[in-house]
Amino acid sequence: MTAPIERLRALMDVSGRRDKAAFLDAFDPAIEYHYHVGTRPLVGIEWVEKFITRYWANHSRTEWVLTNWAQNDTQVLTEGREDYVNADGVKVSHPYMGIIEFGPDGKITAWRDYFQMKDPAAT
Amino acid sequence: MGEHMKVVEAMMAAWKKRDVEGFIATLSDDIEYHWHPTKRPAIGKDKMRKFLSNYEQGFDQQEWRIVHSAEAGEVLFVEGMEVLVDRSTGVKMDNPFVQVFELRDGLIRRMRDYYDTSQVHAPAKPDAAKATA
Repeated sequence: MTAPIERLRALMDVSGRRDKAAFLDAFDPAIEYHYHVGTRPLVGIEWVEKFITRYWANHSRTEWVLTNWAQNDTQVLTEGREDYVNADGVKVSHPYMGIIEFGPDGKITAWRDYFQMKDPAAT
Repeated sequence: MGEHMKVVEAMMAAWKKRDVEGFIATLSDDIEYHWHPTKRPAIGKDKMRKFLSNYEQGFDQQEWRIVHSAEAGEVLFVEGMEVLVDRSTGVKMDNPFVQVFELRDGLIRRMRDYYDTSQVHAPAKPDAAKATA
């Protein structure tokens, strides 16, 4: 299996191009996506599609920046930030930490993002 | 277990005994601890002693465990769970977290915590709970 970080970088690439089909192809159909740890996760690829459709509609000039990462056999643990302009036109830089888990076929089976839910631009 | 993880395990073991100096001994003199995403970090061992004192006053940490980890160069990531009782309210809570450590010469020189502060307020500062709730 390709190393987790390489799979993640491929996903970041298709995300940057907003290629939804390629983006969704990276996920296992039974994906459990904690877009915010502490909030009920999205389970299943249909929910990920709804999430990313809405996210891309409400966020412009998105940039996904990795500052640190480490990986084991099946997971990549990342630290970084998301820069974007929100639906109100406010530029936001949002630090986060995310863990992505891959199955034997290389698809993403679980994803957990840790960050402050409150929009930093609102503080 | 990687070498960095052994240092963090030693830090955790010290804290579970409330051995403050054992905890401090795992840190470099220039330790920089980002304990909150939007607050100033605690820098240096004296600030860390103060932080630990405030933390212990604010919370009874009943459980602290790591479920996943990975190392790369000087960096160690851990994902885990702590169970806390807020001493001011008696409320018990699960606090899932991630910590990113940077180590040098077998000592922790930087720590950054990621969690949602709407669920866990700053230690020993009850007003912060109102501000972030």
